[in-house]
Amino acid sequence: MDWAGLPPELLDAILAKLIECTDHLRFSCVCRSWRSAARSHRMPSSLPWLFLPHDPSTTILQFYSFSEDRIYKISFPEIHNSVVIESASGFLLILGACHENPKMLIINAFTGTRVHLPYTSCYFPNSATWDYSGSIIVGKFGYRSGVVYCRPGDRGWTRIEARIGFFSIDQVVYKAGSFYLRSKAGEIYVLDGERLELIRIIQPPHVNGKVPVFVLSPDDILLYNFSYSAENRRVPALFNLNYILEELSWSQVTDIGNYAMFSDSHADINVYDLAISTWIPTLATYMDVT
Amino acid sequence: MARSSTENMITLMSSDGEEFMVTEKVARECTTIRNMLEDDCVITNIPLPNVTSDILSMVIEYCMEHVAAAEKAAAETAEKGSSSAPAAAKANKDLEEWDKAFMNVDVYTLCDLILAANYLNVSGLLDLTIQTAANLIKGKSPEQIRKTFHIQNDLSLEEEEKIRSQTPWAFEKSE
Repeated sequence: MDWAGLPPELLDAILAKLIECTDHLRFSCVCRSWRSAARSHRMPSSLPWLFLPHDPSTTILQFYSFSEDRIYKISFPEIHNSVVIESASGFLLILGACHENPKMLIINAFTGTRVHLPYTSCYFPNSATWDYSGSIIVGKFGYRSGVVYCRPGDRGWTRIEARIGFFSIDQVVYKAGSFYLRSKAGEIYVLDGERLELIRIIQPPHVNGKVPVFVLSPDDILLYNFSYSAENRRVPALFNLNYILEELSWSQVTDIGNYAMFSDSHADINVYDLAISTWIPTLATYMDVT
Repeated sequence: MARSSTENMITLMSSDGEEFMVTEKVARECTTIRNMLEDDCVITNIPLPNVTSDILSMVIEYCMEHVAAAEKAAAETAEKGSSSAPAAAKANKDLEEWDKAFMNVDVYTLCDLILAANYLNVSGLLDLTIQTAANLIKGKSPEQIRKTFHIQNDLSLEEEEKIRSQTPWAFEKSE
């Protein structure tokens, strides 16, 4: 028996151990049987790549892969004359830079999936926050904008109106039929995804630190915060919202398994290295690639 | 190692007709054999037409090592009333080192071991061999992978170009 002749279920088992998208893509180019195994296997969700600052006059974006310690340059024709806003759920948000170029779309670099969205102006793209679940995209595109959502194929964005001052909303996520809006003070407003009614307001778990932030995660609603130890070291704290139960409650996460968490605090990002348990400060915006 | 005389011995026969006598405990590490024994408890001779003698001897070596490690851990727990964490961690590390050394094989043997571990359903060995194969793939270009595993490229130029053109950056050399 030779390697090209391995049964599909065993090639599938090997693919399951390849956690980098790039290894998966190279695997698919080895021979016909490996290609067909790779095609029927789900693309892995690799470690996030750092999204390096880009030159808006080009169509090239540069990413740094930690696990491979190398830079990838990927060309996207759509980014010409456009702004690339931070990623969410593995997608990059591309926004036409001016009214003469009113386009808005999200792109997944690995799968090549492109979702075209209705245009909405964005005055302060650096403060944009958004979440894409595959069926709905919700966001606050700019400091002075309201919270809006749309489903792929919609002709326009729908504004979420509620008795909350939207200037005070910092972050939005969508999970299991509800919108979760985090205010600057840290409270979380839960709105019904269909009727857009305010269901409840949840207080964040108490940590003697800064205002907590949502961590984008495919399955969970995670809230991150940190406090300072006596030696003035950051002590991270991560909480999981049990949102499926009727009673929404927080539980502290003590182990994130093989995941690495990338958190954003103003201009400086901290990479949590699980192996050596220290914080590595870096200076770049990040891309969470799934 | 002393074994009680009441322990059942099972004979495993490889595809090339070689016989391997193992304890039932070792044989039961293979889920396929365990299921056979549970269906028919008097069975003592099991032909394995899919596994050659050199590969079967390696599978048995792996199972014996893992059974011995589990027995040693159980004996220590019984002796001290509870297992000591540092001792258990060291035993685990020793076994991991053993596994690592055991995986120092050529790619043809590795391929046969994957197939045998899958056929005999030895989950630990299957996981170990699959992980070893994945480690050999990581970070390599398609050409390097083909060379490592002696795979003939049966993709046409057009097919290969099509795959590469979808994500050209994934096939570029690191600068």
